[in-house]
Amino acid sequence: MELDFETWRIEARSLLQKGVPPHLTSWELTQSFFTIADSELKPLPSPKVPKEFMELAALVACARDPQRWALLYRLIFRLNHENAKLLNVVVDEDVHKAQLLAKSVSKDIHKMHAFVRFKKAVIDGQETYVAWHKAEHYIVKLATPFFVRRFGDKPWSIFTPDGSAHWNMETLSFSEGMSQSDFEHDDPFDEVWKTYYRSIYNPARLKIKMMKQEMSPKYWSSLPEAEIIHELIRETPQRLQNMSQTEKFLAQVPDTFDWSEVKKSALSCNACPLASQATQTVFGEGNLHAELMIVGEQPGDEEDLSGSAFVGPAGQVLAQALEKAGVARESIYLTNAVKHFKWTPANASAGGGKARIHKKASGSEMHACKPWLEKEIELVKPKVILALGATAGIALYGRLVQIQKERGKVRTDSAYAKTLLISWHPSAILRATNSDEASLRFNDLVSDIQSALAATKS
Amino acid sequence: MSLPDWNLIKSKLSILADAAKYDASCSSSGSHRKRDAKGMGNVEGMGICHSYAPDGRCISLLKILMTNFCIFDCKYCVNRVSSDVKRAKFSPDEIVTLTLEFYRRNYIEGLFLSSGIIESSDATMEKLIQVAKTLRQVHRFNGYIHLKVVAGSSQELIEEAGLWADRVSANVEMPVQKDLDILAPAKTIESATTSMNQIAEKVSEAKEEQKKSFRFRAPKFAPAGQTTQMIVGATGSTDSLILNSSQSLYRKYALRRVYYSAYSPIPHSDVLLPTEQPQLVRENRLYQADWLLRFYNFEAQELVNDENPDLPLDMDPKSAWALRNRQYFPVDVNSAAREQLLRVPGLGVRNVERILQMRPHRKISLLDLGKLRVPLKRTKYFVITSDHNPDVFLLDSQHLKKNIAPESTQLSLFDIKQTAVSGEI
Repeated sequence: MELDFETWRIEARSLLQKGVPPHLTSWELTQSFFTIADSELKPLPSPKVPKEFMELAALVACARDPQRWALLYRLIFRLNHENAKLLNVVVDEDVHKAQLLAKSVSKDIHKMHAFVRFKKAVIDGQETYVAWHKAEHYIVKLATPFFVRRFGDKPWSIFTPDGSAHWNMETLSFSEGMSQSDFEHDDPFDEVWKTYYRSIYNPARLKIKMMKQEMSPKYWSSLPEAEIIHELIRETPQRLQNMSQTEKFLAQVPDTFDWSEVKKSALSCNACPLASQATQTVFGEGNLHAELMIVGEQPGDEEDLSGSAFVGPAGQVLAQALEKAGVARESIYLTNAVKHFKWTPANASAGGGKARIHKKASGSEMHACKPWLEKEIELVKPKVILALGATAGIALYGRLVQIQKERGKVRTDSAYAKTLLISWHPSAILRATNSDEASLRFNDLVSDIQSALAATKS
Repeated sequence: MSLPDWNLIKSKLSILADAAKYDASCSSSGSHRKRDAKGMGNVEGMGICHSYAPDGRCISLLKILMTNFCIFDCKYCVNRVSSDVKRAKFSPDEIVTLTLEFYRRNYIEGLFLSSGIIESSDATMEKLIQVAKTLRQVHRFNGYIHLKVVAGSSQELIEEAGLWADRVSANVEMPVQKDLDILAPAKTIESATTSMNQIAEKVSEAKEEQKKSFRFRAPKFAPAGQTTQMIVGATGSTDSLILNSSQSLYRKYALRRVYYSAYSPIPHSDVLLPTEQPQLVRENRLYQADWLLRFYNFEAQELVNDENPDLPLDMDPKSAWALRNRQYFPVDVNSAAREQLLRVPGLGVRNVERILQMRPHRKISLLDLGKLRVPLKRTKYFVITSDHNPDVFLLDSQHLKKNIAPESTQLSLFDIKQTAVSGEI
């Protein structure tokens, strides 16, 4: 049976009272002994130690170091005979050693609080949580009251090779240890935890040494997440490569103030994959000195074939709205946020034939195309921009705009134009589920065009 | 409650944890809560890191977004509206269940919950609050909760969040408005600092109330205070801009910490952003400088200025300051005042305290400093000790920089780790 702190304390006190110097004591056996006649000692009837010493000693006593009892006795003796403030001299050999041991024990307790992994089990019909943990020092008694404070509402057991702790919702009791091979519990929920561990890891910051410093491999055998560490490290170079090789598209806009030249170069733009699928680039058109610019989303099937913006069904709706608002199409500049048609073939077996189904541009495609729009704005310098639809909204507002909510609100803090407004895209009118909704949206569009027109005059 | 579909939860979790990992905040310290007799969970002041990912970062909380759908288009963010990432959304109940199951198995200290903005800021914030409130009220959960303030949330909601959470925080993301204009056109520094101000006022108000109340304890408000995060290296902003911005945030809003997050390449990243590896050394130098501001009485202007707008990467900021201010040295470890000792390269706050404690009992030698694990390689040129220290005569040497700066330009992992844990430099 190993000495424990309480036995050592009683023993040390009696040796101190007799005045036995440390070099004459031995703590190898269960009981200390000394080898000198009582008469040669200088007795010390009431030995004293500072409170800090007792705190330090309680930790040192748990260290897995056979020298600890002798070290503690040396310290307690020197505190009484040499310097009551000895503990302040942290570079003293004994103080230093004791503090290192205490630090190592504290750390081990902290790591036990961190690394115990409970598994849910049903024992005698009761929901119980069980864990197996291997500590470096003899800390089961010091470390487990923490789990009572935290998980006192359910019974649990923690097994370690040096001893086990059990909570039955009334008392904390201790029993002998258990080896890992005898601990047979699985918790399918560990897989959910592993999923989290995998996803929270950022491969761009791989630092294996740092991880190991804080979570020593000696603890890994009872950590479910440790099972996938090697896999995560192995995958890292590939993940980084995939990230850096993800193609990033951005249109290269010529450095000129000549609109025709800009358009010409846009016609051969193949910055993103949309170019290869579309018939041609559909660039903006209209009055190059317009005070009002209308920005739609992206060309559709008919625009793609003709090369002109807003000529398809949606274009016709816009034309009607413009007319009703009293705006001549020739007086304004019309363009789209994305300049190529994106489509997928219709499902032929469902009778789609060769129809091309319009598809919304992805974020990276929208982004790739944006320099063209910015150049058009720079050249035309409109006083007012009216964005039509969500894609145009993202391009010009820098965020997703809910049209229902934000139409009618005039923005004057945009870098693109003095006044920025948004309205329904004409295709949203075509897509309306009933004619009431369609005419409501159409009237909205007309009134938004009118507001835009008014803003050019203010 | 019916059993959740764990496979569905797992697939959402993989998206929404991935989406949250760029927020560097991980701390679970600074708060105290006792377990409720009818529930589980407590907070004992010191945070616990329950695991470490292979990136060396601690895992203390279940850090997730409620949803990564977002109406904003902040270029540095993997969740911006124009990003092509997969999207998902947790219900408040799913988050509550995950938190409780994770906590019960001792995987975590609690929950860190943020979200992309859907519908409106307030609608999103309300859902985050609902999660915290359910955990506290329905499940009597007293583990740690950190709620992120959704940009632009109203004051009432911020005040309610602080009632349930241990920490409430708003990210400024960038040191200056100019950077936000480029990368996050719909965000303003002011909106973040307005939230910070509201939190700071409420925190100090609640503390006052608590002091005054005897019989009935006034309710706590975000007892672990607030923090913020700045992304480093996504724009050309200098360390000087960053540190001056931090200093002013610390002074105005009593922040516990500013987190610096080296911009790291994200999948589907915006073309405006750098693709090279994150500036980890720079990030570490900023953390070191940040410690100097908070615990060593340094002013930002002493560390970075017009002539030296960026912290040097090849040495710690205190050594760099010492090299520029050699007239301040040597400092006698046996007689110098606390604030003088704190300025010595290699002497950290804890060692300064130890030296002060030891001085009445013992003359301190260079060897003693070695036992305290003071990095003599740096320190010996700046101190007078009880024994003969010939290196102090090299203080004015032109080659001093070469002597104290580490040979390799790469910061050793040990340095980083030490700093991260103890804050000592």
